[in-house]
Amino acid sequence: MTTTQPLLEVTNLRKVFTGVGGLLSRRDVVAVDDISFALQGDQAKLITIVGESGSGKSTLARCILGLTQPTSGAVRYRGQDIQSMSKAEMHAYRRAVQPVFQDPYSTYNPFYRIDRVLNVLVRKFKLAASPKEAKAQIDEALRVVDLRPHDVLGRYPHQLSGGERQRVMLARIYLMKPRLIIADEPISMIDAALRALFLNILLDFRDQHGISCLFITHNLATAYYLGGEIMVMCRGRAIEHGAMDDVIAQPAHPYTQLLLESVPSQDPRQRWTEKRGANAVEASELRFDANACVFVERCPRVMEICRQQRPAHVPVQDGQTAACFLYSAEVAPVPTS
Amino acid sequence: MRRTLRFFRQNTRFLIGLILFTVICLLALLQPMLVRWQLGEISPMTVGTFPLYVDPNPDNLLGTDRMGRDVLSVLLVGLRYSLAIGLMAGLIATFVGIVVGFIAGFQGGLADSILRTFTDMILVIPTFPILVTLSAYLKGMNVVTMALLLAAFSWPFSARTIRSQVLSLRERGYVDLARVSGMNSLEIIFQEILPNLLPYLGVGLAVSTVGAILAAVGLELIGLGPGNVATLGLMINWAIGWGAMSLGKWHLIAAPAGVLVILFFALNLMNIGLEEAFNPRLKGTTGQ
Amino acid sequence: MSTHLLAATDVRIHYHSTGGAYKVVDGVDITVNRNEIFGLAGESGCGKSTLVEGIMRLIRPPGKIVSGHAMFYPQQPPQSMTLHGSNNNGAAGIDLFQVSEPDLRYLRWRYISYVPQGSMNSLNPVMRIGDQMIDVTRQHSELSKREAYERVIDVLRIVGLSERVVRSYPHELSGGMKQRVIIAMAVTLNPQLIVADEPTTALDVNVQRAVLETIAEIKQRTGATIIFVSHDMAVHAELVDRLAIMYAGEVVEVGTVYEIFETPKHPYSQRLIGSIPQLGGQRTRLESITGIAPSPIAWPQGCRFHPRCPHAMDICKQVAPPAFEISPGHRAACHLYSEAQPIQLHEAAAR
Repeated sequence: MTTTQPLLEVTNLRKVFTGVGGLLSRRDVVAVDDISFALQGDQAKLITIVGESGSGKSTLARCILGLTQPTSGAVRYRGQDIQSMSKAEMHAYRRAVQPVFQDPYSTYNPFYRIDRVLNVLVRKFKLAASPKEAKAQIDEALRVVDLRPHDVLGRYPHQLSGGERQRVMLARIYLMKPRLIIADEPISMIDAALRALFLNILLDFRDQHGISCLFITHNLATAYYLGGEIMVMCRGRAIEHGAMDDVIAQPAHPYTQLLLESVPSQDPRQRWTEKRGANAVEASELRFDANACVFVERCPRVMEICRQQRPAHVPVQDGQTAACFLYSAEVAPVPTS
Repeated sequence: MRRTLRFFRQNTRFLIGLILFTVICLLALLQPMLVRWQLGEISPMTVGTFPLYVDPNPDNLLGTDRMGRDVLSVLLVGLRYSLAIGLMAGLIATFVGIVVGFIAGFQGGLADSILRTFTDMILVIPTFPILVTLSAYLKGMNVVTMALLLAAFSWPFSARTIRSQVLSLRERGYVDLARVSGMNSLEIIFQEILPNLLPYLGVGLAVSTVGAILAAVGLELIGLGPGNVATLGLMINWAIGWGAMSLGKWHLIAAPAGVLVILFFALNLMNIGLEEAFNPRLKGTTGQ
Repeated sequence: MSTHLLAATDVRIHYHSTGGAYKVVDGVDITVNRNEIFGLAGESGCGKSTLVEGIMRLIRPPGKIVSGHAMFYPQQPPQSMTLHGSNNNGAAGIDLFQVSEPDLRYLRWRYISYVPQGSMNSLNPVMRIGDQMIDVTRQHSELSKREAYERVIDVLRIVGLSERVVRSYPHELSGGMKQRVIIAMAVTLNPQLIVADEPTTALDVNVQRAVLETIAEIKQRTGATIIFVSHDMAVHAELVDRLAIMYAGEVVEVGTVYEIFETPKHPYSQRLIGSIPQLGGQRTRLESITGIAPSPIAWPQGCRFHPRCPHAMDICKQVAPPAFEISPGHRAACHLYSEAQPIQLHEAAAR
């Protein structure tokens, strides 16, 4: 019996934080607004979620990991809603889906030595049959991330550098060999060289061990390097989705276009020639309106309908979709001059 | 071992406070022996052991009081009971505070709202007048009831501190990591959060004890403490009642007051020392 | 008239602790030309932020400027100030490490401005932007309230913000706008040198573009010189004229932005540039650097990069390489280039 259930499926996920703010400006914050996507289990793949500040990407990650309860919608693992899983099923979910977090400082309990994050895993998920086997596995995991066991084991978190700590997190993943890694900005707080190592390890995990990864970042160049699929989020909504090469080469949504043209090039001979940034505004500052496109205030190609209705995802080309009225069949966009 | 020694060397305030406090505790603990060594088989509270109102001399290092009792011996007895009341009240208050604060902070939601309201209600009550009223009504107060009474009004302070600490610790990255590593709530509470609360528990205990002793002394000063034993506050009460100051018998007030000051000094030093130990940046500002 | 605006020589800034001295900046030489954007690159811990804090004389104990000079050659230097030393075509300069506190206060904002890391969060939340800017302007100049106001409007325009901002409170502005306000404040008294430490970190990428464009605009409009500190190499590629790369408290390579990006000579520069993902084009496997960045309390012997260098030779383990001149203005501190002429900058400055 072959299962056609996707490994991970997010359906209409919505997370609203109620009552945020002080006494005078209490309001609800919609962090994640109707996000849907699926990750098939047949082949290991990388999906990158790209979003700027306030895009909701971290909240999405937390919902997927079961750390935050969604307001509506579901996260399904092999067809089963994680909110309605039994303890045993949840345990199996944890075995299959593991995170790497952004901050290598706060993910360690300062009270314990760093060995603990590895030992807890071995214990909880019975990764080894004997202490000797556990030690062998741990040593191997540390070597994979270019750490020498005796440099790292037995130390307290504050005795290691941020880079070493993040590498131990990666070793933890290797130890576990989950089906899916949820990586939430895992390289934004470490050095450039280590970032490259990290990304290469993730690619190797996919190619050599069949481990998929949902990689969350704000950096488009990193996303491009990983390849695979890309989903662009803005203010809690997914505004574009497709294969990385397609979206980067031909971004459909104006927001994606804005992001791409703002990435500084690596080549000093290819600098920006025009001034574009005058009206730049942070994505988190965009006003949220449930019945309009999230980008109305800044879109260079905004139309009347964009202010009145929320655009649904429509196909742009093969495999690529964008939530933009410019591509809706029923709306004839005003041709840009 | 070396780590412990280094800890003490780097946190001199705490060390000094700890030493002082230990000395005081030892004195209190060994009180019966010390008194026996001083007075033989006679109870220190026996009236008329010595001539009245004698000034400090080699026989009576702190003189004698109006009832002919050796002040030093009575002082040791008083210290013992004052310390007992203070520590007991401090421990109870801290324990209740931890439980309440923890549940409120960790659970959140309805439990938090209810507990917080309850805590705030007790906080709002003016403690001292209520203590005075209650102890006036409760006939026959002994050490334990006194401690319970004092604890009943001081647990909200540690509850609040613990709650806010738990709230913040709950959001830490390592708690998230523990959850995705398959740890259940109980394991997270005891293995992840509680160890990081220890500094606050230590400080809370010191503060509670100081507060309890202070409140106890306040009550005893006006005669509302336990009537069956001598306490430091009671000694001051007697001295005032006898008009000792106008008679020039300053040692009758200075002795208990002095011991109280040293006790507070020791506890507060430990308190500050602990705070500095867990927040080394404070060392600079307090001039260490 | 001198070509340099700032010439720092043999700068050493150490932090003392019971465990030893943290030699965070340990022998740095940089020269910054007039009206250029000079980039200071390197990863966290390399000392670049400490270096500029030192130049601004903002190092507090237990940190100390142990040695070095930071010669500043402004046009029309303040009359009252004594000028030290002479280099640079006979022009007299001011040693920023030697000036007195009152003189420093005079120089700040008028001659040299500083935009520290995270400064957009240090705006006074209970004052309107305009009031804050006018305050600072009048504190450091003799302008009247009217003149200061005009000037504030001017600089806001230079950074691309409208007059409306003057009446706003900080919380009403976005992060990018606040950062531009800070830059505007730095430009208000037309300083000749502006030092910006990570001004675009933590900003959205489109806002980053606005801020970078603003800085380029300021260079054009006001003729100021800008020292731009950032760990983000792509931003340097987009903005700066010349670039110095720091590692382990030292400058390992310096040159024009084209030289550094197209022909990096130092193995660390090469690896650093090769480790950054490119957007678009062919995907090549990124290079990483083995090993771990060393700690300032125990820099490696000889060349500080040798434990991680793929080209390490025996001499690298023992002798710290001087800066060799690859071509005029392009220097790399690496024994691979020992046939080139080594620059002994400290001696040159002392003469």
